Amino acid sequence: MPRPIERTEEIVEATAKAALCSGALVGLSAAAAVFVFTAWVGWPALREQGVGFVVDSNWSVGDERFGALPMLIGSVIVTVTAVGLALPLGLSAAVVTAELAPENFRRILKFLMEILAGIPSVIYGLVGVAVLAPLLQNKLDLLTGRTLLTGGMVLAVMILPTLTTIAEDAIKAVPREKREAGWALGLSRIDTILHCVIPEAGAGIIGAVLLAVGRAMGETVAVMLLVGSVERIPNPWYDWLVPGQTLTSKIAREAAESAVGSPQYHALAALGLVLLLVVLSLSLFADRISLRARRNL
Amino acid sequence: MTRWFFQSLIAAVGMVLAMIAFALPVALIGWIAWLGAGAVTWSFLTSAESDFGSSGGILYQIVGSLILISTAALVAAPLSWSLAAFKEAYACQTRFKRFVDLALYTLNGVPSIVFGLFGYLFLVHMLGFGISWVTGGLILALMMLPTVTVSVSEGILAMPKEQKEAAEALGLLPWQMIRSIYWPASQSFLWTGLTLGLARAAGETAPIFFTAAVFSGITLPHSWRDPVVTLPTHIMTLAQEAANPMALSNSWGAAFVLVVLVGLLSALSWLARSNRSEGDPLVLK
Repeated sequence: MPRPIERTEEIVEATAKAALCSGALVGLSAAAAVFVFTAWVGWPALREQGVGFVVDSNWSVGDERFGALPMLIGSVIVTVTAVGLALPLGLSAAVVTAELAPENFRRILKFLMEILAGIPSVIYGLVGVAVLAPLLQNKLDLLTGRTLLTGGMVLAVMILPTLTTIAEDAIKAVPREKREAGWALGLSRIDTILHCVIPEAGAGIIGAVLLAVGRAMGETVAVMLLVGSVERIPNPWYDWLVPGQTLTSKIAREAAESAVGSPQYHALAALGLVLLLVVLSLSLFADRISLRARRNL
Repeated sequence: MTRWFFQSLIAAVGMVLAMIAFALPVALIGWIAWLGAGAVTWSFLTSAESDFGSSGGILYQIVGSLILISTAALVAAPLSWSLAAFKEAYACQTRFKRFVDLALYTLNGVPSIVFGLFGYLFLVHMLGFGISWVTGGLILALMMLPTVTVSVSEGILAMPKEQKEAAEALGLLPWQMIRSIYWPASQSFLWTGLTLGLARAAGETAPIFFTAAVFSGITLPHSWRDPVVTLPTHIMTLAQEAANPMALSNSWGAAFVLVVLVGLLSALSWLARSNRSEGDPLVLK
């Protein structure tokens, strides 16, 4: 038989439930507000500019023309540079840790990567501005050391922890039998890793890369300090040692100057919306892939 | 022979690349400490800036950063805790739980500049909070929300099933269960989540530099609508004057202090994590 419930207990219960429920609601609606509000403010600009928003290369506040193509291309270039540099480093570190180093080296790797992930992004920016940019400028005789490539190089170090730790987890999760199959065929250690282990961990590694791409796309301050902040599409297309602009650096540079309700204000929110959609679909996609990879093992 | 050669080549290149990856964090931290520790003196920590930060100290930047993260912690702790407790104690529908989990996962993936933009459009302008420490604290709290909530839920879920069943058998009502069972079980997880979230929030620049901070020239906020100066925004401003050696040296000093602050918060979260499970009086053996 359930015990009798006193009146005071009932009141306390009801109050507590109401308090917890409202706390939960405030938290959830604040989270929802980020998406709803960015979409709501950004939508008019997208409607106004139409396809031009993503294919037009002219961003001019005076003419009320907002083409985000240079920013999109800039974001892609710094991301490709970052992943291109970080992938060989991170994958090698992950393979060495998972396959060759003694068992407790794993903890050291995680610790080292936590240090990298813990350094605030503005300090990466400082290192880039104070060291890397002048170095590139002097060695390569450039007009300025703040280029798309400089931004990408610093970004590579920033995404290294994401890439390395997740790739290491994926490689570690490959069952021992796959390696034994390689050894039984008389393959060398290197061949076993290259042909038995890495293909098996492939989905997990791709998931890691997608997450890293998402982080690289969304990174702001370090990129803003290093990328040069000039809206120009590299010409020829492979010349990345020129200043550029990314989605994030554009928002960061202009947000404070935009008057409320002006076309520029809506256009910046639209940039934020595009960024949000790209980054979120990448992270959801990465999650799906690594989930499936885990289930298949 | 060529096969052997190629294999050795791959192994050697892979080894070198891995060594670079292992050396990077050590080199970076060593370098920041080397350059930064040289710039940090007692008077640097305890005096105000002058000349837009290129000389003088960083006292108010430290205070400003502490104001922002304490506000964020005070806002995020109750919200995250009630969200987690509500989710685990009252919500019986798995669909609702899944929805909350997805929402938190997505929120965690939102780029920091989008938080800044949202804060600028919504809090600064629409709600009229202006560029103020309150705006900054609220934005950072929102950014921490997923980390803290997920950590607390983890604590509640990690509780032994017998304990929950015993409480149910005693006829405890939901709030009584939360107070006497969930709260003690989730406390250390709340600390872990909070310190972890704060370690990240302390170093964030993009969400606060046009919503909460100004670059120089102020000391303490006098009302809730006043802006502050902070360590990350200070470093950003000085980094843009990298040609001036004094500004650069101050920037390294501020960077070192910020790294120490982040490191302390991470160490706290590590302590909270390693303290758990032992000495928990409620665990049934």
